[in-house]
Amino acid sequence: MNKLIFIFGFFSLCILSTPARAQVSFETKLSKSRMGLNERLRVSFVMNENGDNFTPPSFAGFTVVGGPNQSVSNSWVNGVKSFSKTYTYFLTPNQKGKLTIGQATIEIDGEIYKTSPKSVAVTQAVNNPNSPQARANAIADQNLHLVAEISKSNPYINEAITVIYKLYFSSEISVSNVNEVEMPKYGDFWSHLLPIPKLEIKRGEYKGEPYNYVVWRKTVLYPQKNGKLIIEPLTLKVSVDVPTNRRDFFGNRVYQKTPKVITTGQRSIRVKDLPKEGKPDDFSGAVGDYDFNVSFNKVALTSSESFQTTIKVAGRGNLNLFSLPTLNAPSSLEIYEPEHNEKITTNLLGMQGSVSDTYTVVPQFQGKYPIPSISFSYFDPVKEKYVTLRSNETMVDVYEGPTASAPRQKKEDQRQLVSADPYFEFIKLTPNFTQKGSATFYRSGLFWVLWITPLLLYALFAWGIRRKENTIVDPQRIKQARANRLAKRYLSSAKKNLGNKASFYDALERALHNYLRAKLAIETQDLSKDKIVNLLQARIKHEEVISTFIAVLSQCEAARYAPSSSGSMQADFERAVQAITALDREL
Amino acid sequence: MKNILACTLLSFFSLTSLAGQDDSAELFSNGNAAYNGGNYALAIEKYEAILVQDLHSPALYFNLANAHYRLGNVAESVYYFEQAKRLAPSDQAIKNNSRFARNMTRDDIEELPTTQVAQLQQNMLATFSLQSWSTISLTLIWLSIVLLVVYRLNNRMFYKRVFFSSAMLLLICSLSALVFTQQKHEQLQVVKGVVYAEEVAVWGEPNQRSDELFLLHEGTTVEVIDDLSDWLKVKIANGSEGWIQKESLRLLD
Repeated sequence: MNKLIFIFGFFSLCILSTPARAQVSFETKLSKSRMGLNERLRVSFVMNENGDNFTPPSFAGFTVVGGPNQSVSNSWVNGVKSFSKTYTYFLTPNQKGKLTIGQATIEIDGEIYKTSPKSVAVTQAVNNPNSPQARANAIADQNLHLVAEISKSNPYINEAITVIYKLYFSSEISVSNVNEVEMPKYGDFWSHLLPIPKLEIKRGEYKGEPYNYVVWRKTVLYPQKNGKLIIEPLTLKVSVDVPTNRRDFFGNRVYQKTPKVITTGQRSIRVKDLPKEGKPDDFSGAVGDYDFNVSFNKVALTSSESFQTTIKVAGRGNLNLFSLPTLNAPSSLEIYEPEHNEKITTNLLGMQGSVSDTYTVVPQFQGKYPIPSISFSYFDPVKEKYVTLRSNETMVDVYEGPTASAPRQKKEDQRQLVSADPYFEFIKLTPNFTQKGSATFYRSGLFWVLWITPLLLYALFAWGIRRKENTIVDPQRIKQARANRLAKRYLSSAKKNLGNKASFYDALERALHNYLRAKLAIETQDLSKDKIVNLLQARIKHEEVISTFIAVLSQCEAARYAPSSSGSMQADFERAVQAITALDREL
Repeated sequence: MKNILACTLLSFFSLTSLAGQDDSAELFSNGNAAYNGGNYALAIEKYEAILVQDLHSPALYFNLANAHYRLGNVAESVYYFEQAKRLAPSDQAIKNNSRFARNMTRDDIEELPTTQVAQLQQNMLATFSLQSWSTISLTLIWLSIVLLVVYRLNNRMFYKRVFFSSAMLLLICSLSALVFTQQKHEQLQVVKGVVYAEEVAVWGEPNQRSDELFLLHEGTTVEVIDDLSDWLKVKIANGSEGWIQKESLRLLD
């Protein structure tokens, strides 16, 4: 029985021990990933199973200064065996730049395992290679990073972006005494610094490795210019505690304090201009997502009251970076300067809240006042298009008060007057239609005819009257007048020569002769005095008249050769006129 | 010959308009009822149906303008008040209500000050219509001629003097009435328009390369002085002038 138990125990031991073989690992470990040209690098190839035929990589770019050293360790902890075998090389780099440690191979239990390649950054030679200070610096460099995280690298103008500055440090080191050396100035941005009440250490990853980090600074930026904008670096001065290889009396590591200045480096973003296409006319630079509202506290009032109009934009975006649309109202309303209100909170998503303008409007007269619709446009960076919001047109009814024309009613009289204020009158009830565009009477032919006719009629009338009067008046007087006129006509040339003796009497005589010829219808040139007397006597009874005429004639002949004054000429002329007049009356 | 034709045409028109009167009178009273009932849109529809028949009257334009005013249609209201004023310049109700309509407009234009003489002349012209002025002128000339005839036929010196001087007075009055008629005629020849566009720019030249002088808004009345293709040169009440695009304006008939 005992024997049986022993055999069973042996077998079970064998069964238990064989699957204990863990998964094979074979990897490269570097003493540092970043080194000066004059420093050394330790490369270890570590495996957890014993193998054969180890082949190192070529170490191109390096010179092997030591190794390979081989070490094997076996340990049993709580009955679990762990094994490790390490090949170690010491290398110095031959050149600067990024060098790669290639793959090493090993054969374990007939299978070939390979390490993955690793790279080393080789930089300038350091002053004091492998000194504790340089080492501490190197460790600090490797384990401390300041990063500016920008939420969007190609935003639109006025689109909110956030910059979060995070300080990463690995668990190997500890950080104390952080000071800002250089604060970034956001020149082409509207910026808002978000307060961080308490620094908190959080766990995170940096380039795939676990790190602790602190959010040092959070900023919301609204770019104000398009094109490439530079976000200036943030520079921090940090005291770093770096572990050294030394240990104190109690076996704890000794930490070395080293000051370090770290910076985020300059970052740039490319800001897109808002699209030109479809840009509304009333666009005033609002970018975000908004709601627009125009409200009135009352729309029916008397002219002694006032009302308030509030133009409000609420939502998320660059709320205080654009101007609100203004209130347009009929000019007969009195509008006061608006009261501006902002209720904005800023968080990582940008500004949100509302801005509003409140106008106080006082109507002066009664009537209806249409407040035209007000439009507000903004650019939505998410949908990448412009949005225009419109308020409704509102009619404000002022139902009581003076009208535009009437002066305000005096309130001196306490008695209630029956108000005769002009009001909006009712429609007219009698149409009295006329034809549209009917020809006007003025300037028509008929008009002018009607206007001229009375004048013509009167002229006709006046002519008729005159004719009638002519026949009524006494013929004797007419004859007299005609004779005078005749004599005057014949004597006119003589009158012209009054003063020049010879030509005067010549003209006078000729005039008398001409008169006789015309009057008596004598054709002949020969007009002797005797013949004249004969002719006249045949027609005229009064001798007296004939003798006067003859006397004038003979006077003409005589005076031509006799001295005479202008006074006697005038008298002779008068006499000739009388003689002709008298003769004419007889004939 | 031409006169006879015009006369027959006129009588023909008056006959046809008489035929249309019943129908339009009914439309008018229907419109009035709709207005009184507060159905302004229906009232407008009825009134416009009358306008389509080529009939008009100050009352019709007045009612139409009132209905538009009630609906808050600024430009239409001002437009029809202007039409009404054109037909009946001295009507107090039209003047009064058109002030209400003008209150709705956004432009505040300070009118040029006028001299008292010009004001008096304006008032005189506004007192009568063109038709009345021409009739007055004709009546006066006929009367004055009648008085002249009486003067010629009368023998007594005192009466002769009285008739002659009154005839001369009437003749002068008739001539001045004729002058007023001509002025009224010229006044009516002035083309006016009302801005229908909500907002329209007035330019220095009839093209958009020139300077924008000022903005006009819906309901403002302007005077048209000139036109070039799609542009009109307008003058506003304060004397400023500029070019405006045709489609933003509606001209009075």
